[in-house]
Amino acid sequence: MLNYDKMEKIGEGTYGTVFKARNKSSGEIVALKRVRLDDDDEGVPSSALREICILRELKHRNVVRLYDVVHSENKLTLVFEFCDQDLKKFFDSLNGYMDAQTARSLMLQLLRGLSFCHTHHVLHRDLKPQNLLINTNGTLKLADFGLARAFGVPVRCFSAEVVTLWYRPPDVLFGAKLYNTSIDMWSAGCIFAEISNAGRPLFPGADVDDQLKRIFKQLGSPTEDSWPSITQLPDYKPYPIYHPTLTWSQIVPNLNTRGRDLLQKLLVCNPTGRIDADAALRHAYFADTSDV
Amino acid sequence: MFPLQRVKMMLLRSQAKNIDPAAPADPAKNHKRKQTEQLGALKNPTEPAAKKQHSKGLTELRAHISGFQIDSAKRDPRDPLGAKSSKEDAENIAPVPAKAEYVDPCPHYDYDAEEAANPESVSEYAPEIFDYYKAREKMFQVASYMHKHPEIDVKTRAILVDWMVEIQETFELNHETLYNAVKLTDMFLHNSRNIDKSTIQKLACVTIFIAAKFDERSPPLVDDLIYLSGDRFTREELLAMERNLFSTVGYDLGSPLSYRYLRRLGRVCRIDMKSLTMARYILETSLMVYDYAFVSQARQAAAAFVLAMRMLDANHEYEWNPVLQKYSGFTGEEIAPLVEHMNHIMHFVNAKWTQLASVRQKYSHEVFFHVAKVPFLPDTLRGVDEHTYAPLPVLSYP
Repeated sequence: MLNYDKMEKIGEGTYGTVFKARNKSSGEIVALKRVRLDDDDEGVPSSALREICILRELKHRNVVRLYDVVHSENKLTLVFEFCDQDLKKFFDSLNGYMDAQTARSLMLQLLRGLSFCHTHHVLHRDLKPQNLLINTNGTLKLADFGLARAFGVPVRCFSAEVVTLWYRPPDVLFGAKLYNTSIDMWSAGCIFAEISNAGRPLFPGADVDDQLKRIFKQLGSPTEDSWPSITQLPDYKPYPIYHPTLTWSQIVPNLNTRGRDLLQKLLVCNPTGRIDADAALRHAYFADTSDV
Repeated sequence: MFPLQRVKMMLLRSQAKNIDPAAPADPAKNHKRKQTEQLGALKNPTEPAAKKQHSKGLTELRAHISGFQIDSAKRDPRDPLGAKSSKEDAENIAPVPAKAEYVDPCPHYDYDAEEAANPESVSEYAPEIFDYYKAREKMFQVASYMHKHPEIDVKTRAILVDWMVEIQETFELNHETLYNAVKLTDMFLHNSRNIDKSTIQKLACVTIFIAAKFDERSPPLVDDLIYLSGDRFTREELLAMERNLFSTVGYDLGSPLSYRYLRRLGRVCRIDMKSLTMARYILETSLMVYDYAFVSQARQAAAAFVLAMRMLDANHEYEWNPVLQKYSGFTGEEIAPLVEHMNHIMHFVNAKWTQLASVRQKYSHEVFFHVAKVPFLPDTLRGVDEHTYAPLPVLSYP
């Protein structure tokens, strides 16, 4: 890593440590993700391999850019564009208030990045505020593709051990291994609510069971009618019929009617009924700026 | 051939299926566990005391984000890239080709609309993804390379692919992994020089290893790959080869595969498993044929599809049709010469490369509907000589 001066550690990714660094010749600030390779390891770890390969392919203003990869015998270094902060840290700076215009901008950018991934056969599978970076220009970028994977058509069964609990959709919480782009759309819905509430997580469950309860208490428990074949899911168990006690305008008071409508189209328990990223981008919420 | 390894492989075949999932010495599993633990640790994403260091640039930043909104709100939200595409967007291949003069050859049939309720079909994105594959194929195009490697010839490559098929079966890997590994092997040989016979098996191991890590939930382990190769190289040598492969072909492993196009055609034509398996047998046989490394993956899939349908038809008839044209992008005339050549290849491989029997044996099995026993159509082409198949017809790319 002769070309970079390491500055400070900025975090841990799904794998590997991330440092801020300066390019010695150009002075440009970058983020370095470093993965140690030991002799008894299996070469390049598959999470790193997938992230590199996927980001080599995905070039979009709302997806973090991978500039370079330096591969030596005992170290693999990924050179990323540097972003000042992630959405979580941005929330912390808000003191509990998010204006409607900023919220809409963040959501629009998230969906644009996501639409690009999905059209290019990639599932992110770990969307959460910590993995959404924001640079000084206010551009939001999807990052940390360590759990991402390319999917074929038709999709195969994948691992159900994906997505951080609070952002994991009910089908995957019930152990579904056959999922598609809808897995990311649920996470996007959770993040949407969190954005409009200036960082208060929508479903902060303690474990899988608590997570499902929180979801069903808000959305109502799914039935064979609303979600045919739900009982066939590997870890399915019945939940009591909950009746929502809070209205959507109580849960996301800062969101206008159209925003609440989009949110409800994202947070659909049955994955088949969940809106896709392209349809979400066409939603009236983004067309209308009159009330901002 | 590598006769010794075959014996060892038979031994390992049984071992491979009995790997103890809890064995702590299994690095792949360890890795997976690391990931799982990480997921567990992330259950509570509340981080210790958020740093307050950024308040001064904050007002500015918020102005930027809002500014972005004002700007973007003017754009057509149906255009996710925004009206004025930035420089970085221009680097991408447009997933949808220009539709100006496109006429739908089969407007009354929309497979993806019919599949809208089926999550595995990803019907919202399937047409765009296949257009995207086709646009990307050119990036992975391989040209003639044998002259760069004096020690390797067409037969050596065929032996190698035959062996890779065995490895795929031994580890029960996905077919995508096999096809991707063969593609990576060709890309490496295309971009290198003077690779000798002793290196080529290591290369095959590495391409399988990498393709599996990219796509499989439990890729084979380095030690098993070395064992299956008869301990001809060390772990360090294999890992050095992995670095060599990345530096030679780059990190973009998502090359479009004929296998995926074939599944698509099978789906849109709603054919049965036996017909699809027949086409897979043909396609997998053609993996052994060096000249097919230069043919577009989409075209190979379409040709294998038609040949399989003809072989299974009682009168050996199957006409190119508007559905195939719509979903493959080819006309019948564009595919016909390759269909004829593929049929010739089936005859040639079976008659001349009798000892390279991995594919044939695999598809003779009951689970593959014994498709390798289906009689071929009469061969209309003639080989160059006793040991050389007929030259590939000139085909435009893709």
